Amino acid sequence: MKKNSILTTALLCGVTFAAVSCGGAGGSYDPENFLPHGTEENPYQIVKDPITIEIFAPHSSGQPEYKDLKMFKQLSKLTNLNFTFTTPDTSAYPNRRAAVWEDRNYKPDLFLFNNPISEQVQYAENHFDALVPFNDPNYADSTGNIGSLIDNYMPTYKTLLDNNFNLPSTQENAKETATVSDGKMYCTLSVKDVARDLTYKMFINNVWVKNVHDSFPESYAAKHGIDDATKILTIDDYVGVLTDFNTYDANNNGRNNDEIGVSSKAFEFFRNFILQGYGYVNAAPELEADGSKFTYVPKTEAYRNYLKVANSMWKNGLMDRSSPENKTDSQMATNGKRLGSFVAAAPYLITGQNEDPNNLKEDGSKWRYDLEYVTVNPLLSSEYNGPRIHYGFGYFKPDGACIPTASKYKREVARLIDIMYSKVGTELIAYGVEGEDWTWDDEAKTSWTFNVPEDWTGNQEEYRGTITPNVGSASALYWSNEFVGKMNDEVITTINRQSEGYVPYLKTPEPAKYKFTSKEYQEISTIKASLDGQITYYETTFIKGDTMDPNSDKDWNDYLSTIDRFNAGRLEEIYNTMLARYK
Amino acid sequence: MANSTLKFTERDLIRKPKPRNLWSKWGITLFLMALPTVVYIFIFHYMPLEGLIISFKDYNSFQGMWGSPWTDMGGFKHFVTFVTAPNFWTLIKNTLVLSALSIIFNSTLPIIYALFLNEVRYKWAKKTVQIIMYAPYFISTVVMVGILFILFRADTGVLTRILVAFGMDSTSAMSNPKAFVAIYIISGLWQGLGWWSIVYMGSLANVDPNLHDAAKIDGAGRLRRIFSVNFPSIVPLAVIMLIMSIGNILNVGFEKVYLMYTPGNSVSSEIISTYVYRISFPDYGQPQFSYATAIGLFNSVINIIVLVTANFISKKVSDNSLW
Repeated sequence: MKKNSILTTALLCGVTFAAVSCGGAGGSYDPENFLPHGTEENPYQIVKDPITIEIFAPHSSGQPEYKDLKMFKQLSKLTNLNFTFTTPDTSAYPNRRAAVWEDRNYKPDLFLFNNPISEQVQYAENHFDALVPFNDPNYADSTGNIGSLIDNYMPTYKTLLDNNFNLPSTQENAKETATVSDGKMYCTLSVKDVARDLTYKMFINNVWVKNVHDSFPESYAAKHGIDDATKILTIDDYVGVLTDFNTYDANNNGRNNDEIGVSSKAFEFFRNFILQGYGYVNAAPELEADGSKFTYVPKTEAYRNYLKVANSMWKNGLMDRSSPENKTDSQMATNGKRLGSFVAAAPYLITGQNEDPNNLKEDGSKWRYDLEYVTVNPLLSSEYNGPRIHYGFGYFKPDGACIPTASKYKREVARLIDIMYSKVGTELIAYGVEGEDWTWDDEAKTSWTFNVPEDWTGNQEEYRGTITPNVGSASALYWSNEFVGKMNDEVITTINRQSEGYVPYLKTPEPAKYKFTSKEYQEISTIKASLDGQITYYETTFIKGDTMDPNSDKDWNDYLSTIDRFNAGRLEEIYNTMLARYK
Repeated sequence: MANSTLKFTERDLIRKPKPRNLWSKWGITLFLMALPTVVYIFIFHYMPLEGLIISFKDYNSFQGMWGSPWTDMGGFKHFVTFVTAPNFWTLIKNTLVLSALSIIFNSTLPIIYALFLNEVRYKWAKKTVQIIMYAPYFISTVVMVGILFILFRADTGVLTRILVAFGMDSTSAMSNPKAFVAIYIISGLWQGLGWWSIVYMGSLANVDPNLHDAAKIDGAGRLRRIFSVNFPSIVPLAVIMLIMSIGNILNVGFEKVYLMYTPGNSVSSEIISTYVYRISFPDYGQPQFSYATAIGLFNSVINIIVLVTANFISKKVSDNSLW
C-alpha cells in the first residue's frame, strides 16, 4: 500500500513536471497580440498583453544583473515586453554562445551584442536553419509569412541602413558590412561614430614640451620650433622631443633622466603609432592603401624600421622598461606622472588626478594633471611620405543583434531591436532616461548633463553601469555622436575634441565588409594561435636588443625564415584569396 | 572436562557470527557508501568521454556532436595538424621541461624537508615552521603571480634591484625566457613545499618507535636513523606519489603558466595547455572545439602511456606500484 502510494506520487510529479515543461516551451503564439505600429498613445508598445522575451547577452564581472538595469526596465515599460536573461561572463561568452545550439531545449528570442561573424558565415554556407535573415522578403515560419523583418517591422533601422547611418564621408558601407555570402543579413550592425571610440590616442605632456622649448635653446624642440605638441609631425620630431624630456629635466624637479619618454602595454599601441610613420597601422595582415592586396606587415621593411626606432629608443632610455610586462592601464600608471607620452583612453587613467587640496586653480577647482596632455598627430618619416594614417577600429561591426529561428516572437523582437536604434533607444542604451538620468542644458539641445546622484560614491562610469549594459563588455547597438557627442563634461569634451583630430586619417587595417569562409576562419585561427606568439616574442627581443639586432641583416633574415615556418606566408595568401572574391 | 576444552580449534575461536541477512553477507552497506562516488565518477568522468568524438570530426554546434561531419584523413586531420604544427616540438619541449623539473623538485624537496622537520625537538618550533611553510599555499595563483610581477618589476622591483646589484639587467626577469622556468619552479616550491610535505609528516609520525629503539641499541646515530629508519618508511608513499605525478607529466598547471606569460618569455611559457586555451578562445574566428579536443586527447594518451611505463618500471625495480 505504502509502496503504491509512493509510486503514484512519483508518477504524478513526473506528469506534472512534463506538462509544465511542455507548456513553457511550446505555448501557442497569438498573432493578434502583436502591434506592428504601437498605439496612438504609445508608438513604442509592441504587444497588447505582456509576453516574455528571453535574451542571451554577455555580462562583465562587476556589472549589476541585467534584470536590475534601468534600461531594460524602461524598455519593458515602453514596449509592454517582459525580459528574462541568460548572461554568461564575457570571457566564456564565445563558448557559451556556440554551445547554445547544442542545447535543444534552450530557445532564446534574442542574441544581444557580440555575435561572432564567423558563426554567421558558417550558418550561411551550410544553410543551417538557426538565425532569421533580417532582409529576406520570402522568409516564412510556422507563425506565417513574415517577409523581410527590416522592410516590414524595422523602419528606423532600414532608414539608417539606407543612409549609411548618416556617415556619408566614410569609405565603409553599412549594408555590405552586414551582408554575408548568401546575400542575407543575420545580424544587425553595432555602430559607433563617436570620435573618442573610433581609435586609440597617443598623448604627450604638452607642458613639458613648452618647458623644454622655452628654457633650452639647444634642445631639439627649440631648434625645430616645436613650442607646442601639435607641431610634432615626424618620427624624428617625436623621438627628438622625448629625448629632450630626459636631457633637460622637463618636469623641473632638479633630476635629469627621471622622466620616462613613452610607456605602452606590451608595445601594442606604441607599435601601431610608430608603424603609421612607415605606412601601416598594425602588425597583422593589412589592406594596402590602394585596396590592391593584403600585406602581412611583420614581414615588411616598414616593420623593420619600426623595430629599429624602438630599439634605439630602448637603448637610449626613452622607453618604460616595464612595457614588455605591462598588461593593464594600472600597470602603466605605476609610473604615471613620470611619463612623457603614452596610449590610453584618457590621460587621467594613467596620470591620476591631483588630490592635493592645496593645489587648486584660481577658481578653486582642483588642478587636473591629465589636462596637460594633448594627442600627438599621425606621424610621417623620411621612409614614408604618403598620406598620414592612424589606426581606426571601424564604424560598423556585424555583431549587434540576432534572432534565432526557434523564437516564436520574431516580429516582436524585430520591433524591439528597431526601437533600440531609434532616438529614444540610443539615448536609453547610452545614458538612460531623459529628464531622470540626463537633462538637456538648453532649449536648442546643444548639450546635456549626466545626472549622477550626489550621494553616489563611485565614479561616473560605475553609475552608468547601473543603467545600461553598455559599460564593460557590451557595445551599444548605435553609439551615436549626434547624442553622445553633446555630453557636457569637461574631460570627455576635451578627449572628444582631441580624438576628432585623428578622424580624417583613420585606416581600418581589415575592413569589416570582408568576410572569410568558415574554413578560412578556422585556418587563420590555427595559424595565429602560434604565429602571434612568435611575432610578439621577436618584437620584444629585437627592441631589447640583447640577442637580436634589427640592424643586423642576418638576424632579420633568421626572423623572416622563422615566421615563414610559422605560416606567415600562408596567412597572407588566405587574406588575398578572400580579397580576390570581392574583386 | 579439560579434554573437551582442548577440542576447540583456532578457527573455532576466531569464527565470526553468521551473517543475519543478505545486506551484510554481500557487503551491500559498503557498496552503498561507495555509490555516490561511483555515480559522481560515472557522470563527470565517464559520460563526458562521449565528447571525444568531436576530435575526429569538424564539429559545429549547429549540427551537434553526432551530426557534424567526420574530418579528412580518416578522422585524424586535427591530430595530424597538431603534430605537424611548427610549434609542436616547442610545445612538447616546454611542457616536458616544466613538468619534469616540477616533478623532480616537488617530489624530492618535500621529503627532505619533512625528514629534517621531523627531527626538530621543540614542538612549538616545529609548529611555527610548519605554519610559516604552508601558509603560502593558501595564496591564490592570481595573487601569487601578481606578487611575482611586482617583485620583478623593471627598475623598481625588490628582486630586480637585488639582481641589478649583482650586475644583472634592470629589465624584468618576467620577460626573460631563460628565467621563466626558474621563477616558475622556485615560486612553486615557495608556495607548495610546506603543504606537500604534510603527507610525509603524517607518514613519519606512524613510524614504529621500536625500530628507532632497536637502531639506537645497534649504535645508530641520528643521521643514520633518518636514512635507515625514517626514509625507508616513506619510500613506498613517495614512489606512489611519484608515479601519480608522472602520470600527469603533460598536464602542467595551466593557470600559473598562462598568468606568467609575457611576450618576452613566450618561447618558454607556451605549453600544450596554454596553446589549447588560445585555440579554444581565439582572438579571431570561432572556438575550435574539435582541434582543441584532439590536442587534449593526444595529451591524455601520452599521459597514460607514461603512467603505465612508470608503473611497470617501478614494479620491477622497487616492488611499489599503483596496481
